[in-house]
Amino acid sequence: MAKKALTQPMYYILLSLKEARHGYEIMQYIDWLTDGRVVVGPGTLYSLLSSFEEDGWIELISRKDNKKTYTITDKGNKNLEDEISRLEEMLEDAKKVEGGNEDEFQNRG
Amino acid sequence: MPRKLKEAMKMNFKIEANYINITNYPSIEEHFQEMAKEGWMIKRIIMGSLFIYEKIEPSDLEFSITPYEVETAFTRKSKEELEEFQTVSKSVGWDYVLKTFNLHIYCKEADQPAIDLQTDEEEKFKTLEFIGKKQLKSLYILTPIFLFFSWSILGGLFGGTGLLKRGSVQIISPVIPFGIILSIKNIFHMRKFLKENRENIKLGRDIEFSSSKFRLEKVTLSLFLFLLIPLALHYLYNIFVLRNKIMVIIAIPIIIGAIGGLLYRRFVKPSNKSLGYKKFGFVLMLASVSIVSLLVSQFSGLDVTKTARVYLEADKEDLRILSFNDFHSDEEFGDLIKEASPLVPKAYTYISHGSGKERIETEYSKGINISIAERLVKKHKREGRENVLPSYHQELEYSFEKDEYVSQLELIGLSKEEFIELKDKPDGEEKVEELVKNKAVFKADEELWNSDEAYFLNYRETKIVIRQGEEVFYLKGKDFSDPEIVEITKTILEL
Repeated sequence: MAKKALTQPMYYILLSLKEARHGYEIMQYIDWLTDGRVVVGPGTLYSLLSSFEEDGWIELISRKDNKKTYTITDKGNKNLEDEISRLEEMLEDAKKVEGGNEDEFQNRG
Repeated sequence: MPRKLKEAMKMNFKIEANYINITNYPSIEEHFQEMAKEGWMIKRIIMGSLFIYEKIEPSDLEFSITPYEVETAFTRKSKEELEEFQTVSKSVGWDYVLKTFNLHIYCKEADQPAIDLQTDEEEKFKTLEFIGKKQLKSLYILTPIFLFFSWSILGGLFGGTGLLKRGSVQIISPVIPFGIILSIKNIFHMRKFLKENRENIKLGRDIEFSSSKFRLEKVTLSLFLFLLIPLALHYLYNIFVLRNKIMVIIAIPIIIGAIGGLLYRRFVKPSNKSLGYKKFGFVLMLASVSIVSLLVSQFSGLDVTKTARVYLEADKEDLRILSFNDFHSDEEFGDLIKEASPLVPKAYTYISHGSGKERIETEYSKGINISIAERLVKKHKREGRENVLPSYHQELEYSFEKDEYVSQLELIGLSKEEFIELKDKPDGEEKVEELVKNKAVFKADEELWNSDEAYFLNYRETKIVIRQGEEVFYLKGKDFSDPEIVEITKTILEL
């Protein structure tokens, strides 16, 4: 069975946690990475951080000045890499379509 | 009227019956905005339905309510975690106002820019679904329990007589019918909300929230909160004025349980320990609270009995009670319990202890009207009929099994001749039981007792119930067919 796709905020939060970051820094990083295209609000962010931590996809590495700093775990990395592979496959499919493969489809076996 | 006095008399707060939950909070955001324009800022929400506002300058504010799970059965966000969330929300333009259950309320000036607190519809629905499913689980468990207790309570209040003296039940009873309907309605409402929006999210649509006015919820919760005041007063009156030790003993485990729960919620739930540790902590807390409650209740049960005697002499003066001292005997000590309820505003039970295990019991009740007093008499009569068989169950069973009459059965009015006549009949056992019950409760001489109703409640005539108008006396422990006992009793009880 195909794994469930990550939503956009899930994807970008995991991506940002390849380096240790706290909540506000995650939001700022995503905004910078995507040139403001993707915005993650605090409500969305902290709900996802809670569920990631519960599922073992991220881990808390420090707690200082009311800021919790997280980083991605091996399990989280695996899920992220699976998602990246999935997106790459989707991109390949898009390229095939743009390259014009209708004839190939019609003449298949 | 002087201006300063006028200003002092202006209310700086406003209370409103409303309702907020995860299915309708966007409409509450709009409502807060309207209220802010009129000069009222939400300050506190009690049980999701009592909204308390404070006076402010009329302001053009925007509100944002976001679901953010704070507490589950075993975990709770720490103060630091909540503060971090608030700090980050502030950095994107939102000021924290308050939270109610799992909904956090923020506001900002309408013309100030800010990033939305929730920026992804699918993630927002996941959080709402998680919270909604938790609420449904609670409803699935609590609703049948609530239905069962409601049926017992309402049946006891209207059909039976067991709850006539239970003030707490009588005070809460008006909310019961609403509560039953509300519990069932909430289950269907939440299921529909989650199902429809699961479909919406799948199809890439926005979440649809409820536009219901939630009138039933507003009425029920407001009524419940309002009734908590007379309920608290009832307990305080019974404990401190009537010095009802039973109420104290009942209150002890409740208070200990509440303290245990608060400590668990404050220290264990938000801690960094594992979920397994927290579950173990919960079990440990439950066990500790149960043991401590039992021990304290046991100790208090003895101690309160002894200290209550200090008040007895002063309390006894205006009470119509029987004691061994009235019957040319010596009373060792007495136990007095006073109680009050809306239907029976004055009631007390006095047990006079003689030598050995002898006791004389006086139970006095004054109903708010004759109908209540009549129901109390019926209660005693019913108990008289029901209690006779269990007390002599072994003797009856032995008699039928061995086909041999046991002489103790004379005490409940079953003679040897009657036993022999009935024992071999097809439904002999049932006939004997019916005979014994009928002999247990029978009319006493109402004229002799100067009463509207009088019934002996056992064959030996050592239990009697007497009604004079709204007053009911239940007496136990002397031979109330003895003319001398009758006269003394009538004099003492002013019958």
